[in-house]
Amino acid sequence: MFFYTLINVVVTIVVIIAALYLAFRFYAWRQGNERIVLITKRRTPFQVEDLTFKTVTLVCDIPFVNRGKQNGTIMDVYPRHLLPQEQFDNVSIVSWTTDANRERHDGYWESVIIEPRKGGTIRLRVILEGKTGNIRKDVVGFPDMSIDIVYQVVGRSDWHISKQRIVLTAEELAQAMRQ
Amino acid sequence: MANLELVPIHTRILTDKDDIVEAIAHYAKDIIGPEDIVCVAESVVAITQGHFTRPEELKPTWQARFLCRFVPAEGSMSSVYGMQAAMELEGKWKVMGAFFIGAIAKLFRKNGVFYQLARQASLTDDVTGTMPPFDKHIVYGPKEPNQVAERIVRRTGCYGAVVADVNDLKRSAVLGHSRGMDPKKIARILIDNPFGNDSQMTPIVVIKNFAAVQAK
Repeated sequence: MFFYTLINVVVTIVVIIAALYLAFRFYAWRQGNERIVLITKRRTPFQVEDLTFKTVTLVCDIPFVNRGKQNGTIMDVYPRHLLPQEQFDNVSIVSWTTDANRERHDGYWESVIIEPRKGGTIRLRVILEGKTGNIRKDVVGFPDMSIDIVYQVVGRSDWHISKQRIVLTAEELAQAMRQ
Repeated sequence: MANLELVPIHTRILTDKDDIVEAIAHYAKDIIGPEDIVCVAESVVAITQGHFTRPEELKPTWQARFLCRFVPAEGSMSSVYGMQAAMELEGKWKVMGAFFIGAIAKLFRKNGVFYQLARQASLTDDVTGTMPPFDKHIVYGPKEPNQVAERIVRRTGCYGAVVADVNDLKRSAVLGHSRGMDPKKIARILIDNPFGNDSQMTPIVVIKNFAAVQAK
């Protein structure tokens, strides 16, 4: 008798815990998380911001939005340009990002909270420096260059790093240089 | 006739390499007089004490994942890392107990019990709570704020000192003070946030002529 009572108590406790756990999972699912995405399709074309004999500075704005249901904090954003020397070796490249709403010029991304259904703009700068000293000549033959925009986000759940890719095409660079 | 005057003191970014008392002496020695009160922002005191961490350094427990889901989005405890940071100092079971007691107290229309019981939950600033480079950090409340205030008095010769938590939302609290100070009175004087926002870099405020005005 005692054994069956004990079994009943244990089963009841397990069922209660399981029910509470499932209720919490359902609540958390309904509550949702942040979901910050870059809208790379709506990025602006690269434009020349500064042009010297040796360097060209290109700028491009990339909108982002929080499609989730919770606040998301963008802790960091940085670009990773991908142009191996085997592919093209006439320029050296520096790239950096800033929040277009709170522009900085030190390459530092200041953490920012993005509310649900709100967004902002990442401003990407790419500086090409010609290795011979004449940027117009050095960019001849420049190939399509992928740039990963890497961003770290934290919210109600664990921090995570995501990345989305844009491409600075040869045609886009040529057109920007002509303007 | 002397009047109260609030003088914000501009500093460089203070870090855990700095001593807050020496920083006050360095930046405000020409301004602080024997009738003045020196006020210092609590987050800067905590930073100079190295009392901060990063989300990447924390491993959230199930208790933090559970509780943060019930905190409104505006609070530092709504983030799993903010909650975990408070648990690291207070203890996860204490925070959990405080949370349930706070929830029961809310049923009886008594708010703020959770933050009274789990003090670090109210003092911890989540990511973005302070200025760069600490915007990527979780900054705890200051350690031993009364002793910090006493050290400021001894070092600068001022009338009194307080460690204060003030924001633009008309919330002002004195977390630690030197002997003889009335924390509620000082908090009222600081209610308009003379520290300004973080980017103004004025973590020290001197209340000039306090002793003379009080004596009137």
